[in-house]
Amino acid sequence: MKRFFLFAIFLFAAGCHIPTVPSPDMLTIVETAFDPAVFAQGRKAAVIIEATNDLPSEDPMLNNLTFKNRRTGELFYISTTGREVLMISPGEYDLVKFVISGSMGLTFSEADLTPRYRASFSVKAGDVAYLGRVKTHVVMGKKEYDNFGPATQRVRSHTFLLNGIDSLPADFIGRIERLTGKKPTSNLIEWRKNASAGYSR
Amino acid sequence: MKKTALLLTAFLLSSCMSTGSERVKDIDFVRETMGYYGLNKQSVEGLFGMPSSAFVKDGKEVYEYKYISVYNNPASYIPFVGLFFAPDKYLANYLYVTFDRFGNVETYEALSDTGDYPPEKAF
Repeated sequence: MKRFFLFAIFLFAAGCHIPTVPSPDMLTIVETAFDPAVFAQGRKAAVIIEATNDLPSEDPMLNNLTFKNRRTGELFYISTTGREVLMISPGEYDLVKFVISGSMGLTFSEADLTPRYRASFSVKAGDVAYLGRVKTHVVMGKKEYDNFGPATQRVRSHTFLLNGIDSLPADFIGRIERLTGKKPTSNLIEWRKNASAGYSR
Repeated sequence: MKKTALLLTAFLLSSCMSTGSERVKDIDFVRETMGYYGLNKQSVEGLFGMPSSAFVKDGKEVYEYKYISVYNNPASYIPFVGLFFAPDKYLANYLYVTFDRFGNVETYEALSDTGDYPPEKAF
């Protein structure tokens, strides 16, 4: 009887969604999600950013960037394998975190590239700004096989900024114009290597 | 039993995170209140408190109030059935009040957006 009850409780728990407490990041994600009605009030700036990488993986690896407002300390998050459109408060922003994560086969990998690069940009209220395409390119890759364990993969990469505004799809630009009343203009992120940390690439 | 009930209540009550002014949490109340005639800056501040931000648009001062929250979806607590629902929901309310040069309310815009978290992307 005891075992039966334990089994029944196990089944019940398995069928339940175990709730988790929402995190402050989730509030930021809601606030920065683009809303045409809120943007029309003229207080926010719309930013378009692309982030891609060619790291070897089963599925495209996620590019996670976090920017912080220099004056207010407000954060906004980008987590994408392609293009994102967000709505942020005007001001000057600095990159505070840059991590590429994803599956490389059987294991989950995370590459924290934050120390290697510095980036910043500035937007004003009402701007519809194309910030650029953050591209991480593999310079050298090496796979090491171990008879007694999983293979390991080492990659050397370089991240740089491209201006891809001319290659944005026409329907995307049309939709931006309809929802914001403006065409996007280039306002590229100042992306540079963190030479003071000793990184040359 | 009492301790378990208290613990569960505390857990359920903590499953909500919010930011902004609680006074714009009920958007229907906001719309009803702003519909009154003769409101000015002082009365708006008395009703909703100090704004989260104030800015100038087309030469006129605008107050912005916001209330944003993310909370657990109550439907997700139902055993088995809850697995088919998104675990979290969000609410984003905004109130924009434009004043004329005398400090009287000229126009207002009360916006509300709610749904499953994360919000649907417009692009």
